[in-house]
Amino acid sequence: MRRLLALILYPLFPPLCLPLYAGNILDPVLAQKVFEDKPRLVVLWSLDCPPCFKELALLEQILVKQPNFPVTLISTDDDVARHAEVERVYSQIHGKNLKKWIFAEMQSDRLRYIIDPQWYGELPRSYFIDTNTNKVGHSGLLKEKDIMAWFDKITGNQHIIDP
Amino acid sequence: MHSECCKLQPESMTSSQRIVPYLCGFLAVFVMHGNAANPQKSVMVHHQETVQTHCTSVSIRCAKTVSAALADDGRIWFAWSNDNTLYVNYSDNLGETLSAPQAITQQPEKIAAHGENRPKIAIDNQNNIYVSWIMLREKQWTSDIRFSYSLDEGKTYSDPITINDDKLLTSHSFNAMQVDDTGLVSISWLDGRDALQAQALNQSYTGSAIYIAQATPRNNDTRFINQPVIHGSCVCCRLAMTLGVDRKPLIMWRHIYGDNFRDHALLTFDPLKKDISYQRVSFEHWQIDGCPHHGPTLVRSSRRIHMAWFNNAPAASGLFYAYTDDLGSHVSEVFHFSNMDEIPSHPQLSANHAGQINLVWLTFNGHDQAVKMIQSRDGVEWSPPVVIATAQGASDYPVLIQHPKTALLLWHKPGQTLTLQRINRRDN
Repeated sequence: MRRLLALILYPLFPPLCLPLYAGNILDPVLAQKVFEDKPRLVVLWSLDCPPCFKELALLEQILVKQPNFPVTLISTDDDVARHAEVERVYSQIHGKNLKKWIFAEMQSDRLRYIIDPQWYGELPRSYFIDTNTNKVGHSGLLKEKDIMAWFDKITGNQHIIDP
Repeated sequence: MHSECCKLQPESMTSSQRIVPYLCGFLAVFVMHGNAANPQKSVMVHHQETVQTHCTSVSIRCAKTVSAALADDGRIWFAWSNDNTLYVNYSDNLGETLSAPQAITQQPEKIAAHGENRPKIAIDNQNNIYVSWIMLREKQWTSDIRFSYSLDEGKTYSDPITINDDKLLTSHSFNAMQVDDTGLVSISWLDGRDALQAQALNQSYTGSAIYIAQATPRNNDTRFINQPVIHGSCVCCRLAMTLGVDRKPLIMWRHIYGDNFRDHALLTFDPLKKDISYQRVSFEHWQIDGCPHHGPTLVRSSRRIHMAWFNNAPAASGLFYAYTDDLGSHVSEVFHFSNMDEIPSHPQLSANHAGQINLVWLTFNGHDQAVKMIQSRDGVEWSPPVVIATAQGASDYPVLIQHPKTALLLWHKPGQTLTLQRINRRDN
């Protein structure tokens, strides 16, 4: 009920309220729904993963050029002591269709399993989710041309997508 | 509460504009508090609960990771950290009771103690204690290798020193440590100084370097002169280190071959040799431009080096074992002892004085974790896997302790009392 109320009221003030979602906790219940938003690029990363920051920097650049690019970022740092660090990273990245999550405390095994039993923790880990097809997982850095090719495909080269 | 909208209000705002931020704040409280049924859904509520539930007591129970080492007299020593302090304590009765924790660091230090990056402890044949750890520095991925030791069986410890000598604000991490029967301490780690210097010169550099430093503190020698070993290691996987028959350090790590094929390599460090050669010992050809977060394990029994590791190549994924009798020049047929169906991870090897090899690893079925074990006398024939422990919730990696009385499983669960489990199989 509370969530429904928020969903009704938040859209009245989206430009001012969006920063409230700077980093939400992803628990096993919410993790079931990570891939329900379609189309979307989901990227999992960690503070302990230097290559992940290359990916985040690339996404940051894409979001500057394409503010509506649909992407979900999930930090796998399931330690509340590191939330401040994660929040600092998230504070640098902005987008109209950007969602940000942090793994719930000490739940990384369970959350990884829910997100994808075929994913064994390597990072960065990403999923291209089309409107009509299943998610396609990828381990390691993405190339900009592949990201944009996917974006072209889902928007028919128009790059217009509703948040 | 993360509410940029509600922090600052320009002087020229209208009354309705002033109301909006408060409404946002109210909504934030309303929605987040509504998630209190599952407190971890809300950052705001979770932080409040964190203040109440954060483990602040000086107890091994509060540690996220625990390392252990066995002294010749049967005492089991533990190294762990909490609240920016490094602690050591011990057990004389196979973990039934533990001594009071002793703080090694007198000044707060941010200590890496999660996953594959954690404090290490070693005991020599005179019951001197050596501890090394990673101190996190002010910039992301910058850290130093720290070291302290005790020459009076743990009554007092030396002031911590920094082992890496470059004085550069860069990464020094994933330390491994061994001490031989002459008291020579060898510490190896992943070092970012060469990558940093290459970057400054606009040159390319792949991965990390491995450095090693040796000294004999019990002979008043703590110089620990840094020596580069190899370049091109994976930047986020632990090193595995043991001592060869000749007491020379053997290091196994995940290397970057060619276009990001991250297979394992083995070398012997000889301080008298200028050129260090290394051998590739895994050949699954896992190509990934990222962080596997999975380092290898190795142990020596007589002249045979036993090795186990994780790989996730398309044609070969899971946990693998092999041995070498000639320091990696030739590697046995690979034993694929765990496949991805059981979501395996973090294998660990140990060997007892009789040559019994124990190999344990973690598995996960979506709800419960389990530690499985296989055993062998020679690395050729192995017992069938058996589950030796199960748990729900978060856990540390399984660690084997080869006590003279029995092999022990140390499988720490943060927030819970530490217990050591006897492994009653074969000769243990």
